[in-house]
Formats: sequence, structure tokens, C-alpha cells
Amino acid sequence: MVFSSITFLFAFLPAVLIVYYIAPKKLRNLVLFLFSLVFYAWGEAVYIWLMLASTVVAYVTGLLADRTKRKKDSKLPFFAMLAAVVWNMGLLLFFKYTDFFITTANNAFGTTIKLLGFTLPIGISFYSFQTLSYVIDVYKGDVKSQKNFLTLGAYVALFPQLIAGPIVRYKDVEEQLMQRSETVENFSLGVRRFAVGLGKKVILANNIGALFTLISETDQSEMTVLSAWLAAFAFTFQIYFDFSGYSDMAIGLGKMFGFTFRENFNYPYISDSITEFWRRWHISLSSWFRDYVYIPLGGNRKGKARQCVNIMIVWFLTGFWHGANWNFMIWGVYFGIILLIEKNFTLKGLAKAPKIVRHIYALLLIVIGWGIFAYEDFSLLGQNFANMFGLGGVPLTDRASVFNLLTYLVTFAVLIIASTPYPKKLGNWLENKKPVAFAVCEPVWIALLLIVSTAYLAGNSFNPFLYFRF
Amino acid sequence: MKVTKIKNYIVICLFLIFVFGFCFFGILQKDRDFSEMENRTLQKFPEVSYERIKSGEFTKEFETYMSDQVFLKDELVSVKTVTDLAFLKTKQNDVYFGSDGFYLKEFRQNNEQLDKNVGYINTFADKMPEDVKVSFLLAPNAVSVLEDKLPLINDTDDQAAAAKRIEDSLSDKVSFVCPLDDFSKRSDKDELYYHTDHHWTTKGAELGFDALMERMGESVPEADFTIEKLADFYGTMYSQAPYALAESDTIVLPTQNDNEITVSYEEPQGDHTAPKACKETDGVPAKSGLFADELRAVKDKYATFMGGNFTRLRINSEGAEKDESVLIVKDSYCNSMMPYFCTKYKDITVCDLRYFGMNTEAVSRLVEERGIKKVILVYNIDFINSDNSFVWLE
Repeated sequence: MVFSSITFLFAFLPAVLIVYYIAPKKLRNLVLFLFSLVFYAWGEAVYIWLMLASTVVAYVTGLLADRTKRKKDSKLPFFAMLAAVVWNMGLLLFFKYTDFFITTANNAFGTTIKLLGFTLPIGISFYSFQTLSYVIDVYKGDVKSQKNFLTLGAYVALFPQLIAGPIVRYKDVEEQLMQRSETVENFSLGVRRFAVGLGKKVILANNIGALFTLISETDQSEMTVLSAWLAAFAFTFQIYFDFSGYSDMAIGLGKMFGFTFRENFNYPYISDSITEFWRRWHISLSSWFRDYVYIPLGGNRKGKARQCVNIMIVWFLTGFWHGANWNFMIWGVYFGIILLIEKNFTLKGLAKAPKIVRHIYALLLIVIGWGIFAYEDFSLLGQNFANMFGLGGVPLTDRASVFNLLTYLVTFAVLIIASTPYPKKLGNWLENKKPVAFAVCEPVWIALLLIVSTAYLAGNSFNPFLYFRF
Repeated sequence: MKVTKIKNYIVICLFLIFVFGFCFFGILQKDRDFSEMENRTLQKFPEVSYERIKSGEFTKEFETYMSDQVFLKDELVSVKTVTDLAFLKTKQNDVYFGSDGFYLKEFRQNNEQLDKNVGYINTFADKMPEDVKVSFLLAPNAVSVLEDKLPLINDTDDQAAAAKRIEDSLSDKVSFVCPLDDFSKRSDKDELYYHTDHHWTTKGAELGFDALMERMGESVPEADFTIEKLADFYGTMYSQAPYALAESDTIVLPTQNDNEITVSYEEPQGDHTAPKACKETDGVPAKSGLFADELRAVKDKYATFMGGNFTRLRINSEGAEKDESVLIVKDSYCNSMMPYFCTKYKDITVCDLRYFGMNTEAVSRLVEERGIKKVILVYNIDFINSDNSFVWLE
């Protein structure tokens, strides 16, 4: 199930809210756990067993990896941790990457090995990382092992973050899992966050996503340079509002049930460098790679050369995590290289350039990055870049592309404004200066967001979800 | 501090009303089979079984059910249309929001289909015996006649070019007329098309008939009509982008005084079933009069003319000017012209190629059997530009 659906809003959500708040505190984790299982099983019931198996593995290896419970020289915790790594990575490799490796081998060696043809278990990339980080943290002694299976189960399956993150770490929510206070303030914060997220996803991302789909389905004979750039910017906005909208909804829902998740996005498109961009984009993923790959590899403590290698490994893996396809790897390596260049050469020089130059520099590289990300088909990817840079032999503009530009002008303006912190600043300013006016405006604004989003969902419009496949 | 606290409660109440309100009223209200506003069938509550749940069929249909049967569905669809308009999207689902409340369907010239269809017409016409005359009325669409009502930013093609292309490639055997220029120059051109539907009005149909008669070298008979009006008509284009502020149309139904008209639904397959008033004679449903009374009250009121589109009809018009048999091959634009055709010809066979099949009697055989000397084609530009049923002419 996804949040941006009528079924979630008017069937699942009312049900879980009512049962959760009627249930005594002791049973609330059980309520969340059971509802989360329904949420997950909706549409693809089989893979629920896989997620439960993963939870059992995390539970057992977590207990065994707890060194405080063992003798000092016991090897058991290490092997338990290793088992968790093997299980989770094995699961990911098997379900996500096997077919990719088979296809690659078939292409390279002319073999005809049959593909497995599994559909990707929803959310596997997210819950594998979460359970793995739990066991590793237990092993490192950062956190105590969880003896109550239900509590751990509620953590893994927790529906707000189950299928598309943010990647919530066990140590961040350990206390909340055992004792949390659902307050009026938190609930109302959650509502606000959820409404904004829903609007970002349904009103903004879907709207601009329709433009990207329209252009990407255009025949090459009708392409123009302008269309190629429109598509690139459309995708840039679509993926941000799609994914950050989903994260907002997750954080908001978490608040409604008394959880506080860490932020996952921090206005990434106002960045002045790629280094800054990756501090603001999908924060829970990049910090996961930092803590569980980069630092264990030695980080920056083993000399400059080793650090560069480590960075490249992390970025190759980050790209690969997004999908079993070459374009995602190229996308990861692309950012790895830019980050290395920035770190070693240009970042200091860049800081002296005027802000507008830095901003255009960063945005251009980000948009090109999404150009790599958007096309899984290599010939399409190449053609797209040829079109963007006038090498595709296509005209600069035509009537259709100018029409699309003008029709989406208002939408682009709204998207640009919504990508900056200014709307939030405006809200904060109003709240401080005119608290009463704000107290009237904000609920009206939230009601508007909810109703218009519902209207889009009821209007059977275009409603894909990009991060569903990761 | 206190203000913030009150606001928190307001926000929470609002959200709970939203979530539980839609949930509660959604359960309470009766499910609908059909959305008149969107002109489509809605999903009913799906059948529950273990197998269907396991295969995912149930959940998929349940999601459709939830969004189809959501409380205040029609109002919500309206809100979506208005929001899109607020984003200055004047084109929604290939329909432009024109000035003066006109919905205008985008036209994209498709030369491949056009040439193919004209080819079929030519082959058909050239095979006709010397003494059979073939005439072709090409009806322009609102998007070109009311071009000045299009939004400033639009991406629609010029229908005059399409009409020219058709005229230039038609066989000499076919007398062709397209009243696009005449329509565009008229001061009352706003009255020739519906605001919310893709058809021409009865007025447009009458002028189309006049243009056709002129081209065929025939006079337009003097006739008295009793006029009936059907108000609150929201047409097909409204269904593409419905919203509450749209103004409805009125359909004019002209009935010729002192004329006995009988319509036989010889091949009654089509987009509707034969009208209820039909009585079977020799296995063929037939009724008197051109209008289907039961369709006056439904959403798609345009189907009141002839009761919709059917493979083949035969109309007997006792009071017609000429005791002649003609054959018309047509699309739905022709349906509102029938009152005028009935003033002229006594025996009219009407074919709609869209519903033809392997077992349908070919048009050329009909011409032979019924001793027909005049074949008339009536098509609108959008139709001939996109339809692929012309192959049945051969």
C-alpha cells in the first residue's frame, strides 16, 4: 500500500488510528506490528514471509551479537554479526541483483542462463539496511539487544517507514519503541507534516511527472533540445517532490504514533556544491553508508589515497543500491568522482565564486545526474544527452515544446519556490509576528492541501511512485 | 502560547474529520454503477475469496473501488479540474478550455490515417456504377470554426489544411463540400457547436445539410418544424474535464409537421440498444419518429437523435419531397441532420461502418439491391483523421 491512495487515507488510516488509540499502552506495539503486516501484505502477500524471516534473523543474531552478555574472548558475537551481514546482503543480492548478473553474463559470454524473474520484494532495500544496522550496533555495543520479539518486529515492520524509508536506525527509536508519549503537540505536528508531504507528492510530483512521461514517450523524430531540457528539469523536480513528499508523510505519520524520525531531506536544490547536495539529499541513506561502509573501511584515517578509494567504493555502492542496472552505477560513480574533485581541488576555489555561479554549477551537475538516473536503457540515455547538448540533430524548439514550456510555466514556478526554505520562513515569520492570523491561516492551508490532494487521487490521474522499485 | 495550543486542537480535529468523515460517509452512501459526470462505469465492491486476495486481484480492484466510490467523488473531480486550471493548464485530457465556456477538442493532423481513409473512399466511389452519384459532406469541428476562442497558448493543428488535403486527393467521382470557411465567417457561429460536447448543434447540422444540398445541385425543401428543447446537456468533452462552473447546453429536437417517419433498426448493433418504443415487424425492430424518448433524461442526451449509432437503419419518410432512395454512410454528426434529410428523401438507408463486421452486408451490395442512385458520406474532420473503420467500405 502507498500513503498517496484513497485506500490508505480513508480505510487503513482511520482503522489503525482508532485501534491504536483505543488499545492500552502495552498493546500498542502489537497493534502497530499487525497493521504494518496488513499494510505490507496489501497487494503482494507472499513476500511478507521474507520480511518476517528477516526479522527473526535480526532478533536471533542481535541477541547473540550482544557482547555484554558473553565472555570477553567469545567469538560468538562476531560470527552472529557476520551471519546478519551475510543474510541481509545475500537477500539483497539474490532478489535484487541475480537477474542483472545473469543478463550481464549472458551478454558477455553468450550464455543463455534463464532469469529468475522475481518481482522485487517491496522495501527490501530499506528493511535489510535497517535490520543490519541494528545487529551491527548491538555488536559494537552502541545499543542493547532487544529481547522482546514484538518490539523488534514493530520496529522493522513499522508501516510509516516500511517501504520507502527514511532508513530509521534502531538506536534512534529504541527508547520510543519501549516508551513513547503520544502528545497533542506531536499529533498536530504530524498532521501538518503529513498534509505537506501528501501535497508535495500528489499535487506537485505527479503533475510534473506527467510532463516527464509525456516527453520521454515522444518519438526521437519529434524531439527538440528544449524538450530534452524540460524533461530533465521535470524529472529533477519529480524525484525530489515524490521522494521527499513520501519522507514527509512518513515522518508525519511517525509523529502521530509518537515516534520521531530523523529528517531525510534538507532543501537539496539550494545547494552550492555537490558535497553540500549530498548532505541535504536522502540523508538517512548517505549517513548509513558513511557509518557502516566508509568508516569501517578506514574513512579518512588511512591516508589520502585510501580515502579516495573508500569514497569511490561508497559511491559505487550507493549507485548500485538504487537499482540493478548500469545506469545507477554510473550515476553513483559520477557523483563519487565529482565529490573527489571537489574535496581535493575545487571546493576551496569554488567558495570564492559568486553565489549565483556556485548555485548554477551545482544545479547543472545535479540535473545531469538525474539525466543518468532516469534512463535505464543505454541507447535512450545516450540519445537524451545528445539531444540536451544539441548533438542529436534535433531542432532547438518546435511548437509542441514551446507549448509544454508555457503550459508548465506556473507549475515550474511553484516547484522552484517549494524547493526553497522561503515558504517555511514565511510561515515562521507570520507565526511570530501575527500569531492569531497564522492560527487561522494554517488550518485553512492544511485543509486545502488535504482536499486538493484527495481530488487528484479521486480524479484517477497519473500517480506513480518512483522509490517503490528500490 | 495559548493560541498555539488551540491551533493544535483545530488542526487535529480537522484531520480527524477529514479521515473519518470520508471513511464514514463513504461507507454510508450507496455505491453507484455509473458516473454520469465522467461518463463511465464505476468499480463495484470486489468479490472476496482467498484466491483473489492471494493473486492480488482483490486488492487491486479494492483500490479502484475506493477511489471510484469515494464520498463527494463528483465534487472532488471538479476540484481537480479547477486546480489544474489554477496552474494555467488550459488543456486537460486533450480538451482546451476556450473562452465563452467552450470546450474545444485538440486536433492533431494524422496524414497516414487521412490518406488511408480517403483511399478507401476513392476505391469505393470508383467502383460505383456510372449513374450512382457519390457526395461527401466533411463537417468542420468547433476547434477550427471557433478558433478565436482557443486559449492563446495552444498546440492544435489547422483543420483547413486537413480539409484541403482530403479534397485534393479525392477521386473526381466524389462531389466534396466542407463548409469550414462559411461557418467561420458567420456572425452566429457560436450557435453552431455545443459548449460541452464534440458535436455540432442542430443549427450546425441544418447549415451542413444546406451546404450539402447546394453542392449536390438540389434545393432545400420548405418545411415546418415543431421545436422541442432538452436543457441541462453536459456532453462528452465535459466528461474529460468536468467542473462545477461549466455551463450546460440545450439540444434542439426538430420534428417536421405532417410527416410520418418510420425508422427500422435493420442491423441494431451499435453503441446503444434499439429504442424501447420499437416493435418488431418481420424480426426487425421499428418505431415511428427519429428520437429515442428514454434517452432524453440521461447524460448523453445527444443519443436522443436516432437513439445512438447503429450498423444499419432504414428510414421511411412519407412526407418527403422526393420519392427517392439514398444511402448515407456516416458518423454521429449525421444523426442531428436526419430531420433535414427526411424532408428531402423518402427512403434513406443509414450505415455506420464502426459497427460493421465480417457478416454485415457490404455497402456496395446495398446500393445495387435497393436501386440507390445517390450515396452520401457525412463525416467530421476529427473522425476521418482518426477512425480506422473505413476499410469496411471495400
